[in-house]
Amino acid sequence: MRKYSLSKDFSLDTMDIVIAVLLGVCQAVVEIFGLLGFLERTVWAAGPIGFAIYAFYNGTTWILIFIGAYLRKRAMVPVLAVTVTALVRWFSGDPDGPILLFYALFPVSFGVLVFPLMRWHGRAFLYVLAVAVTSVANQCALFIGQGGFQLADGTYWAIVSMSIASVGGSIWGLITWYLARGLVVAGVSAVEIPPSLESENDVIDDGNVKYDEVGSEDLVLAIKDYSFWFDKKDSEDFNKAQLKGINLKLKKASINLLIGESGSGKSTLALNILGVYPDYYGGAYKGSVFLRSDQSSLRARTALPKLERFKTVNIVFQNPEDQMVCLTVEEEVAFALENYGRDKDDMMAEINKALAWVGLESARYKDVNILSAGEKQRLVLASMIALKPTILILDEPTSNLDPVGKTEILNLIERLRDEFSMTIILIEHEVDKVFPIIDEIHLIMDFEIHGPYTPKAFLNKYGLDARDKLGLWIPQCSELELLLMNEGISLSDDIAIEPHDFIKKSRELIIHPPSQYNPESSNLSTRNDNAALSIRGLSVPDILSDIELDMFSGEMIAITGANGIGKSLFGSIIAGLNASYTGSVNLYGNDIRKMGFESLMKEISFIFQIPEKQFVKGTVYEEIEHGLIIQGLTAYELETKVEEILNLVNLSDRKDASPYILSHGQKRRLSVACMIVSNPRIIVLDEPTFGQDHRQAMHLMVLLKRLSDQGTLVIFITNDMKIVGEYASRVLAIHKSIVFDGQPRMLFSNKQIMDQCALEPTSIFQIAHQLLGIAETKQDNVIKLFRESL
Amino acid sequence: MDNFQLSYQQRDSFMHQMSPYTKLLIILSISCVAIFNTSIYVASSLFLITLLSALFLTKISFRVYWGFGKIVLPFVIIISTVFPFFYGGQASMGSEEIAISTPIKDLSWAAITFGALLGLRFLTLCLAGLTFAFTTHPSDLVQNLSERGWDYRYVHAPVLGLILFPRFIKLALDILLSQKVRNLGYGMTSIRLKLLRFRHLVFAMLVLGLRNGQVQAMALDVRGYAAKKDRTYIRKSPGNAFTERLAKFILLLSIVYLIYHFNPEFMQWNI
Repeated sequence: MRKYSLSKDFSLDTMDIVIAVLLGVCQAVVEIFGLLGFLERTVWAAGPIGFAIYAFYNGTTWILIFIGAYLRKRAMVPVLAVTVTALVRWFSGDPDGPILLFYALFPVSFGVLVFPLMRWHGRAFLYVLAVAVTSVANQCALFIGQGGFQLADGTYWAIVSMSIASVGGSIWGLITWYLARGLVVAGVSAVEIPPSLESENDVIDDGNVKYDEVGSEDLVLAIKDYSFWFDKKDSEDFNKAQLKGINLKLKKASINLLIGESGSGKSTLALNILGVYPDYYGGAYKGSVFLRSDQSSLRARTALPKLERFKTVNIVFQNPEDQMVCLTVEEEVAFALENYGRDKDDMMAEINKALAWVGLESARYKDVNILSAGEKQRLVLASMIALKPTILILDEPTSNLDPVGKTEILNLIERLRDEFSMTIILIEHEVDKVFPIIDEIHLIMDFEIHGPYTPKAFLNKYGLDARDKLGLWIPQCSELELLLMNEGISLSDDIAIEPHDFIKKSRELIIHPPSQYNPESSNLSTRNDNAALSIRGLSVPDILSDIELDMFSGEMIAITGANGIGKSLFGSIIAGLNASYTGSVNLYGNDIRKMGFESLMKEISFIFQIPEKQFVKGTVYEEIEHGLIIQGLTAYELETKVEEILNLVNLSDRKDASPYILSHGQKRRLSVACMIVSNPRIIVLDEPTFGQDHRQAMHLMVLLKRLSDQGTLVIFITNDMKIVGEYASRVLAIHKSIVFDGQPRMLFSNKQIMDQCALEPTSIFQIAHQLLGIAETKQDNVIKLFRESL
Repeated sequence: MDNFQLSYQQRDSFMHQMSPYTKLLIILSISCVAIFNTSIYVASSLFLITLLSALFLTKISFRVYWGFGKIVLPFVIIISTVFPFFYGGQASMGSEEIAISTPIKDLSWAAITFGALLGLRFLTLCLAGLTFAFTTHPSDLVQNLSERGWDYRYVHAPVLGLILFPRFIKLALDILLSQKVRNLGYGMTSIRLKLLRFRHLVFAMLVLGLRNGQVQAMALDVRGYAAKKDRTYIRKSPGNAFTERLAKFILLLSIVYLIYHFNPEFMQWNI
């Protein structure tokens, strides 16, 4: 057993600090929502007896704080967490500011002393004792601050209160331990042993220091026989590696696409290139990663000082909000430069350039929380531009954006390559816009890397297997050409990756353009004339104005528009979740504001963009069962129905798992399953295909189409024009009001409205329109018409 | 919570020009004196000084203070009016002569003074706290303390908290909505329902919040978080030597007062 180290127990790494901050913020929110400050004070009305009553539940304040000690095994985490709670409330305008600090820091200082005194045995008793001691100290602080000692028999009541606090605190301390273990089961990462006892991460083999291969002058990154394991214990078993024998070379000033099914290892590879794994967050590896830092030769990443590594390679994560750490735009861009101790004049010059580059000069002093999604994405790009790394990794940079926003970001990425000679590694599902700009594709399959390929070479090699077997998105025009090839119609040896390529190649083949074309106007088979939803005069000040429309059973309606225009707000209003509007929304003739919430939810189901927000139970089975219980089924019927739904959504093998640890696609399927068990007549979904690969997205849309064919009104909010074109029978475009209501092909034909709503037509539509002179959005119809035109 | 705003009020006032560290020293002095003081005259003077400073040295109107601070008023009134009934009767607070007769208990001047003392204590602390929050930008606080040698990562943590705060509020609202939509606690009594939903709210917030923690930590590390001790700043932090000396003088005065005050004649522990 190694010697206990007090200094290590009270020093924090970045992850510890972030966890402490998250817990502190969570505690601040809970205190506000739970009115804990008010509850505490109402007991004053009973004098010293009130103190004694409060003594029992004062320990609840410390549960979240000491969970941090369990997760991170460092006594300093609770101290930082309470400081964050107090200061967040203080700077948000809570008048209790300095009082909160006194009531927080004073007690918790006693509590954390328990940890070194007990030398981190780490069993439940440690947390019981720590929370008990903190509760006792909190009572003491209350008595000092609130004049308790000056009351009649004040000292007697102080002793009584502290005794009660010790008992109450012990109970809450046990709950702390129990809750923390539950969080670990739900997938929240935790360290296993206190820092004083852990050993350093072992490097198994860090390879050569210098990269000597001929022809490497153009390279900025070279990876040689690299394998990685998250868990060091698995490092002897190659089959358990999360990266297997990776060899990769990237040239200067290139855009490289990293492609692969969900869970194939793309992000793991990106983080290993970056060096956060294994240098900061552990793991074991074999092989080497070589980087070119400035003008030097390629050197092993581990041979570079840590500061140099992140100046050479850096990353923009998928969600820009995850990386915003400052209060204003200017501070955000300056953050990294300040960390590296850059001179103030230099910094201002870099910031000015970066903001001008991304078009955010006018937003310089704005609060980051009020930026739009597109602005946030541009802000994080600006912060990287200021830093100017040699290699920049971009993890799904366009996933939160509308079509015009996506184009803007991709244009910026091209400029990074062309103007700064940056090497870009792109992880992206939006392949229609990405394929034309990339230089090389690297395919990750089963944790191994294949390639590099040019986009056309990739499509020539894998064809439709990329979609069908690997589950990947491929450009629509490429998909179309490959499908035609399957029918014996070959356009050329090179598969088109842009619509105009396809159009150019196939124009000569068109002999009989379709002269008359009458597509089905909508899915009318189950439509009846009684509107499921009737909206009259719906307005929300400054956002939506005077909306009037009817929606019918069996329709599949897409709601689309620019980011931040009010699509999700509109969706929540028609789902009955938001009553802040004027006008009326009627559900089968009944005003939804006058209906009881429970009866409304039986008719309408709303599925959030983030599926985890809807989970309320501990296992997948219980989640589905929960929705069925209120139907009054027998135990046998319940079990049968749950199994049926588990099979329908392909989750039978995960029925005992916590919903929070499922993959993204599994969570999405589960969230849909939970909401359809009650057989709602209307389903509203917010961005149903967000972050999903082709296979997962198609499964979901096919399921929704089936429901729609059975008579359910399906409404989905989306920026994905492919889904709109392929599945929607009707589309509503929003820009302050409904500016378009009709079929997708008519919307895509209307350039003015498309521009107004920051939308772009799909490649399929462009091909059909320019080549065949028809407005069509569905792939099967375009193929049929193409065939007939030859 | 798209319109969540910090309490900071941008002005060009005497208090705004003081460094955050200076203001912290003054807050500390005021807090210690307010909490441990037992003289009604000192309490009243402290409250008046704090009030006048808030109104005339910050260029912030009383309406703004009232908007944020009125929430504590009911509790100040409760403690000032209820606690006198429990007063222990230490002579040094005031005279034992009956001031008010009530059906519950006759209240002496000492008891009433005690209630007033508590009320003034909280009003002073709240006012001082609001003045600090209104006149101090969190980024200035971080910079000021970091330049004085405090570990940047620790002093920056509350700023990180402020950025995450509105997102957590939104997360909490979404979770509460989900609970209603999914009818969590169907068939339970009102109290059990509330307890179950509260427990679920906390757990879900923790899971959804903490799982993102690793990405956020990586995002900090890759931007050189605390990579160098001599970090530079683009902001010009407020402050001047005069106000810093003034703050240290006030701190010294408060220490002297408390030492002087720590005297069995003045202390009123009811043992």
